[in-house]
Amino acid sequence: MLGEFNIARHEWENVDKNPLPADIPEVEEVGATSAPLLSAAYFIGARCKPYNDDFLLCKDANNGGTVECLKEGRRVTRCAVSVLSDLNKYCFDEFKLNYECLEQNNHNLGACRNSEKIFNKCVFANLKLTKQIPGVKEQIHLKENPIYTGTSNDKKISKEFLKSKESQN
Amino acid sequence: MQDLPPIGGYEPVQWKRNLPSRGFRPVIYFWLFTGIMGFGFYRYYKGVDEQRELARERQWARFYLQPLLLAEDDRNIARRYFSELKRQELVKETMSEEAKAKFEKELYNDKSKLRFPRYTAGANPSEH
Repeated sequence: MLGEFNIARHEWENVDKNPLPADIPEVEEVGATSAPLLSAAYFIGARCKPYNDDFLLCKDANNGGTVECLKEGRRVTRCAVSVLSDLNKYCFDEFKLNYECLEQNNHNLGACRNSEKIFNKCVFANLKLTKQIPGVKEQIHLKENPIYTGTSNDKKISKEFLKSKESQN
Repeated sequence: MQDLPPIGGYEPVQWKRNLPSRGFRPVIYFWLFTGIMGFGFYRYYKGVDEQRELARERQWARFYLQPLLLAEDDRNIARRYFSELKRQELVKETMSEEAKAKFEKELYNDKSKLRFPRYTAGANPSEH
């Protein structure tokens, strides 16, 4: 009843009244939130590097290229969506374990190494993608006894996850 | 007449003070604390290295995501750009000839790049 006086209570309809022109093809949007994106970032980078580079070079060549590079942008989005759907298909539980840890720990990658290890292993087994930080020989995510580990309970949760996975098999 | 010592002799004289023990030799303390400090510095700079690598990891994660975020944003900006062009066409239909000429006048002389219509030159709404 009060809704009609309270603008903030207005229920907005999520309808695009001004869609893109019909001659520009539709593309499925990524639609993932920040934690899953961060968790999958290195695998998106590993698979989509050519498309990403192509898109950014196009933008560079066209002075921003917002309208000119829509085609390359669609390729980038399609590639990222393919990675995310593959992750969901083959490594759904591991992916969820890792991004929920990130979500709970302020997106601190160092606090989620145990779940990340499980996740990376699954991704390598199924998608043949590896996490590789460019420019350095020593990969921080493979470090044995890191100093900064955060205060997460990731170790415990990962152990429980592995145990429940074993008992299922 | 002379005093003689008491029978059984005098008690022994305490010639040394009762000072508490001063601990180890100074050189041992020097190396002990140097060692502790050295370990602390070693650990600290290891931590600095690790923080730098963690930052690098975060940055590269962002670099890999940036194109897809930009692509998504570009589509939204392009959508708004084209719909703005369409809106301007609609507005032009209702204008008089003079107002339309004014409205169609280019705002910028520099044609080297695409400019998004943030500020639309046009007639005062009351003149439409």
